[in-house]
Amino acid sequence: MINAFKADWRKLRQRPAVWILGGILLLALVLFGYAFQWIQLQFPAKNFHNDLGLTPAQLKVALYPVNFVKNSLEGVGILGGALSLILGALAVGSEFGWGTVKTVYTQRPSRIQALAGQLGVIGVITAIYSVAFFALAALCSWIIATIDGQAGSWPAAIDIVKAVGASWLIFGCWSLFGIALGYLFRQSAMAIGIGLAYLFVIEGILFRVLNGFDASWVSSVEKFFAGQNASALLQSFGQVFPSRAATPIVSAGEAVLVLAIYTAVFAVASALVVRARDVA
Amino acid sequence: MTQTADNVVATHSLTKRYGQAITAVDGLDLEVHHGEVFGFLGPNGAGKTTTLRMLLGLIRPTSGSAQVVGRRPGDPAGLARIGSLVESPAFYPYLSGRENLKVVADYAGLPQVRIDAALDEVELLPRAKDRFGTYSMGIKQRLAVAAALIKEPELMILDEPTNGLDPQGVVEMRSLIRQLGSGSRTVLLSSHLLNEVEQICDRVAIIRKGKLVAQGRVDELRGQASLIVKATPSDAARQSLVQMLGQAAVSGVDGTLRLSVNPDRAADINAALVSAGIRVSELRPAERTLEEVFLSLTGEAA
Repeated sequence: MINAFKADWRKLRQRPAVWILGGILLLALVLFGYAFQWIQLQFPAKNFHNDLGLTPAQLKVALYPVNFVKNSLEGVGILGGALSLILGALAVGSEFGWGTVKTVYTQRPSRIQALAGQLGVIGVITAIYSVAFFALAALCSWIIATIDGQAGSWPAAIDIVKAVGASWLIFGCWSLFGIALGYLFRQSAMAIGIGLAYLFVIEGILFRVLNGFDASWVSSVEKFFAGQNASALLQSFGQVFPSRAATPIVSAGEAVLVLAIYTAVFAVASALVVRARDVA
Repeated sequence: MTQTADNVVATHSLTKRYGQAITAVDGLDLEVHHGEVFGFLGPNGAGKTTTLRMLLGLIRPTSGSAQVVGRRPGDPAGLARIGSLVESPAFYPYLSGRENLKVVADYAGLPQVRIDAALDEVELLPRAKDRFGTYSMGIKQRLAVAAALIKEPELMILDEPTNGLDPQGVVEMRSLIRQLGSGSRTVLLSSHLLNEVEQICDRVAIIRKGKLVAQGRVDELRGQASLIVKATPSDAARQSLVQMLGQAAVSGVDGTLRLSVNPDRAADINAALVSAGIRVSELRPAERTLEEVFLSLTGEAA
């Protein structure tokens, strides 16, 4: 497994797509999480109106270091999940597209060892995404606070660690979903298409339909879906302005447990497909 | 399956079916001996690539069994001793040739020090820094051979290694295969180039529609050599030769006769014909080529 990990790390760390996806996440964070918001609040329109009745200066508090965890998760947290799904689907689908899956399987490691190495490397890359995401969010918030001449108090270290861990779990879960789809469809395009459709559309449509039944079991069912739990985990860190928030459907602990189970299920599903399939 | 210490590859009733309708490989019994260059021949769609993929563990057989370097196909310890090129060379297009070999070495758990030697052996060192995606097919094939060589394998499995190559590339690959098979290494070569196989291989197997139709030494398959005779008058020559050798040993049309006899008898036959007043204008030994054997067994061009 160590050999497979080394090989996968060598090839994925040099793959431009891996860092382009990470770059998109960070760019989105800077632009949508901080830059555009700060510009809108620094130079408000004449008819500026906020539903909470807050002034631009009051709203700017969201952009300062004390709120960098909440603001960054609230702003673009779900995008990280989508990009991680693409990462996983690309890491596997391209191997089929280039035919390199047969190159890998005719070297020494078993198929399961090769998969384990791949999962390990994806875990490392999504960890890098998570750390870089919060490091950049902290930097952006510090820069804005410095420009605005505001004192820079920070969230508790444990909250920052929890946020990094939570986002890693979410990114990891969706990347493994992408990997499982990649092995299932043996290509990137279908895996990415189906994965994103599920992430952004299918779960939403499903619950809109179910909510029409106005039955108590709907909310019970909701608690077991990956997207709902990922959202609940993000919401568990709170919102800068609470009235914006929806109430999380499950607690943070429950969300972590469900996402961890999904991650394990995607890994086992990938292993079953990898073991069973012929490589044509 | 005769699994002896001398067999590097041995299969017993190896079969691969896709659904009920398609039988890609049908009860194949194959034996590749240690140190030989073994040619694996068959028309397109005969099941050659499917067989090689089963030997590498990429495809699971429907029934039957196989042993490769004393292991079951796909066993990690066995794969460590096998170098392979199956169909087209497959590497990461954004990595250089050298980086691709590092990836292969990592997977195989091999030291990176072998990489430059392997690149040198296939004369790829000058292009080692270039991305794989920029390589021509010939260079890609050579990189695939280098990837196999870094394992210092005791068995090389080469599936159509000259596919897609231009004439210069074919010449280079032919030379490389000869080099690979010159030592104690066993080479299992699937190829369409019968002339090549005839020159390089010690033994061959021919399959058709998934079934083995012949297996043996090249000279055995070509069969007993014969004699070609041109003589006048031809009718008298035929009559004389039939009397001498028997009806079954004489065939041919348009004045050219093929005699199914040992070529060592050429002088006796010549003397007999001349003494019968028959003028002999041509008398030479003739052997069937592997291509003729292949065509007679498969009824198809390779």
